[in-house]
Amino acid sequence: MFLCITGIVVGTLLLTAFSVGFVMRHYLEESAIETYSLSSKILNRYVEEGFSKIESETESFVFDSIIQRSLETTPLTYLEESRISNVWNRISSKYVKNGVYLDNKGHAYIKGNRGLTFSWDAYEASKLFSATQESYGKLQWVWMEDTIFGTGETGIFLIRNVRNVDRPELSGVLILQLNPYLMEEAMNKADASEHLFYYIFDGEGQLCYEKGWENRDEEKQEEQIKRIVNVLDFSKKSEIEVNPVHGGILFSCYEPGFGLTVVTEVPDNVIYEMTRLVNLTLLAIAAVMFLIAAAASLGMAYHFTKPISEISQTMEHFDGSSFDDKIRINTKTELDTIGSSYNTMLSRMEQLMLKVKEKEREVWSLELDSLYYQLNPHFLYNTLDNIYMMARIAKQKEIMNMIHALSRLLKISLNKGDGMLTVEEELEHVASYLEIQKMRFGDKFRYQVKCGEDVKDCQTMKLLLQPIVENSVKYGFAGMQSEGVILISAQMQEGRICFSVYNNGKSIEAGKLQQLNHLKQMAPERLKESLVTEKGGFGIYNIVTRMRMKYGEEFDIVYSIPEGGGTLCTLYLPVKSQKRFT
Amino acid sequence: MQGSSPDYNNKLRMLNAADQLPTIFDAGGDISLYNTLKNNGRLVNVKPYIDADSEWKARLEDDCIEQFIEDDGAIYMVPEAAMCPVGIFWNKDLFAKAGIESFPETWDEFWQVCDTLQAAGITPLALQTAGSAWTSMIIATSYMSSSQEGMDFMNQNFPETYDTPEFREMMEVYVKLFQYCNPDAIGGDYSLAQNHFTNEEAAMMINGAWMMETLRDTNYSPEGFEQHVGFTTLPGKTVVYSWNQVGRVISASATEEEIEAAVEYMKTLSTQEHVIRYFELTGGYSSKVELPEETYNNLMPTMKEYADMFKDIEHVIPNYQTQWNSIILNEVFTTDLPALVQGSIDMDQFIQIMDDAVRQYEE
Repeated sequence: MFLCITGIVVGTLLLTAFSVGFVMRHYLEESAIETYSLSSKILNRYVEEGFSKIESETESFVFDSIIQRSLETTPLTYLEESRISNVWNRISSKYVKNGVYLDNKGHAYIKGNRGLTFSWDAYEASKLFSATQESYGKLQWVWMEDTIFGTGETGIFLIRNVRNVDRPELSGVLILQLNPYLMEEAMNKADASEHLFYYIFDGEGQLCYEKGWENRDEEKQEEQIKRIVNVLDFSKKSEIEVNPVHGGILFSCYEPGFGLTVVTEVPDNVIYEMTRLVNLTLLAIAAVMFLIAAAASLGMAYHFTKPISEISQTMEHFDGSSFDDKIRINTKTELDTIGSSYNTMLSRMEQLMLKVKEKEREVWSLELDSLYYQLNPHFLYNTLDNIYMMARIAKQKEIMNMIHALSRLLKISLNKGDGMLTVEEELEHVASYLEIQKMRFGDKFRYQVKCGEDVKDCQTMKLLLQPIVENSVKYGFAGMQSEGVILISAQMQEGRICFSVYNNGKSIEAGKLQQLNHLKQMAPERLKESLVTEKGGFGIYNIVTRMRMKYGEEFDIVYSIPEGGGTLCTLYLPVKSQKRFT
Repeated sequence: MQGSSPDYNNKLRMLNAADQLPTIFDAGGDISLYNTLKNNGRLVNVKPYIDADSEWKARLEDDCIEQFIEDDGAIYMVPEAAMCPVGIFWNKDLFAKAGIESFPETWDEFWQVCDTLQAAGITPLALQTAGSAWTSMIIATSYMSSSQEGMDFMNQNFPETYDTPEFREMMEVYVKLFQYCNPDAIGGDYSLAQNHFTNEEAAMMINGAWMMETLRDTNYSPEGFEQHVGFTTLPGKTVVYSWNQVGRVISASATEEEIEAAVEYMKTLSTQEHVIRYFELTGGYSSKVELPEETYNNLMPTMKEYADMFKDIEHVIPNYQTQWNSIILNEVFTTDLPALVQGSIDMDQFIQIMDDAVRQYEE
């Protein structure tokens, strides 16, 4: 249980952490792309702004009247030449390290530094010279080693053709060697992060500026720059491009002024910094939740397992011998109901056991009686045979007949232990009984027994008719000395066996008649109470009870008073089966 | 960009020197600038684009295409589908006050009308000299073109000398014009002349149909002014127009995509729908597009007269702005033309200044 609950909690937490991590990662990537796209654009704008400033300054230089004059066919006077040094003030020194203006008459006017020299040969052999052929008058960017001023430094050079406004075919050239300030200024204005890497490439993929690799592994830097160059397409001139690169994401912007590509590399650890924090927080929450879940599980387990264990042990120890081992728990949960139900079940089982034992005793007693009954008939038959022989010797025919009738009566009563016999046998039994009674009472009554051919072989319970006939003799003919008549018949009526016993004696009382006709509807206890105390009632109780047990609701017993008086009792029984030929 | 003022053309020169020309712009206002750009490879040859699209070519005016073909077979100015010739606006009420019922058809009648108007206390002409002297020089050059010699002179592109009898006579007529104009015309600019006309202070003014809207704009003109202004040819059924006075060109510094877009834009300007709209707005007329009756009926009266005028045109003379160099137009006309009119210099001096300008430009 504990393991199960803990597993569910930990599983839920892991699933939550995974889901949150996945969503966060996706969100952070999108957020990073949005954020750094914007910051890259801003950086690009500042580079562009720097370019615009220099471009504007060079335009101002180009359109200065003395510069325009210098391009005309007539050469400058000495005074005019001296004014050119002032024109250099139009170019901001914070961006420009060195500069030179070449007119169309072979003159080179160097900016500021008097010690600087200019090499025409180096210029004509450099990329700067070819750049002047490529553009009519736009400011262009060249990344190269300085050969024209002789400093040998590799850096950014700007160059543009200087056109005469009225006669543009007359042109000179303006060359500026930049210092890194323009890029640094752009980085500062864009609030460049120390956690990111910045690169500026020219149109050919040549790295012209980088920031972020200071004091880092140079080999790694070279490898990373190679990867970046492979990833980027420098021919694209889109405002922003986002590309994945080893260890991070690249944001590249084309800067239309210089034709540069300004690149920001955002390392993975910067992008997923938030994920790391979230994951740590989630882990902390997970740990706390795990502890809480563990404590709760233990508490819950103790709360539930103890009573369950008690229930289990009580049930296991129950061996049926003792019903006193009750469950005593108080958990204020459904377990209390289980314990209570078990205790109730135990009490009922105890009562049931007592009843079963009592029944067993009754059965045992009955079986014992049955054994006695099985023993007695043999003795009785032997005795009757002895008496019969003695009567025969004494030629007492009446005694002989009586003993013969009694013997037939007992034979049916005692030997048919399965309780079923044919209708014919039942009628024979009741006839034997009447024969004995007739010997006892002389001419007090006569009897007649009829049996339909279609019913004689049908099975019926034994000894059904005798109690009814006995009641007729005892109570129907009470007070009569002669002329008593008993008519007994058996016939098939509407698919049922119909026994009728009529006596012409005293009619049964109306109240009793009604009582007898409702015997079938009476509960067993009530039946016993209403009949046992009455005269002849026990016999009726006996046959009604037996018929109930045998036939259920399929029998009927009807008492009536025929028109000529007397009492008629009719039994209706279902046809169970034909006579067994065994 | 479109325009023909010196400031506009100077701006174009600056932009060209800085290699920042717009993709498409109007270089027709200063033919010397156009030549500079053309000779320095600063313009796109649009002939391949025209040849590649026969539908577009069919919509363009054949005369225009023919005129725009350069000696080397290239076409740098994008040919037009419609023209906006210059004629003359005249105030019918002022003419009526002077007892004149119709516009003069000959130059003699023109001068008589000027005298009659002046005698009636009405200033005949709204003129100016600044900004290449548009409103006055058009009349003078039209007068000169009424003779074959004068027409031949006008057909010269960048004449080598202005010392010719035709030009002298034309300049004498030019000076005479200032007897019939507002006193502030000398040194005044175009807007000054327009204000005199729309304020009913002058009876006639040279201009194109682009001035039509001003007639019913109550910021410039009295209510209902357009109802009694007529438009017609100059005497001799003459109008002034040069196809290259608009002269849209495409910068060679533009990217391929920009050039394609500019060509598409020019194609759009030549569609029938656009030409009709162009006519409604500024009077752009195409011989290949018939004006729908409904459009004609909705025109203001002056514009209807303008539309009707095309049936009567017998002569189209070149716009002097497209034939003479920029130094003459921008410098000589700004300073020396008023001096001539005022009498500070005589005709010989003025002719000399003109020829000096030719030499200066050639240098």
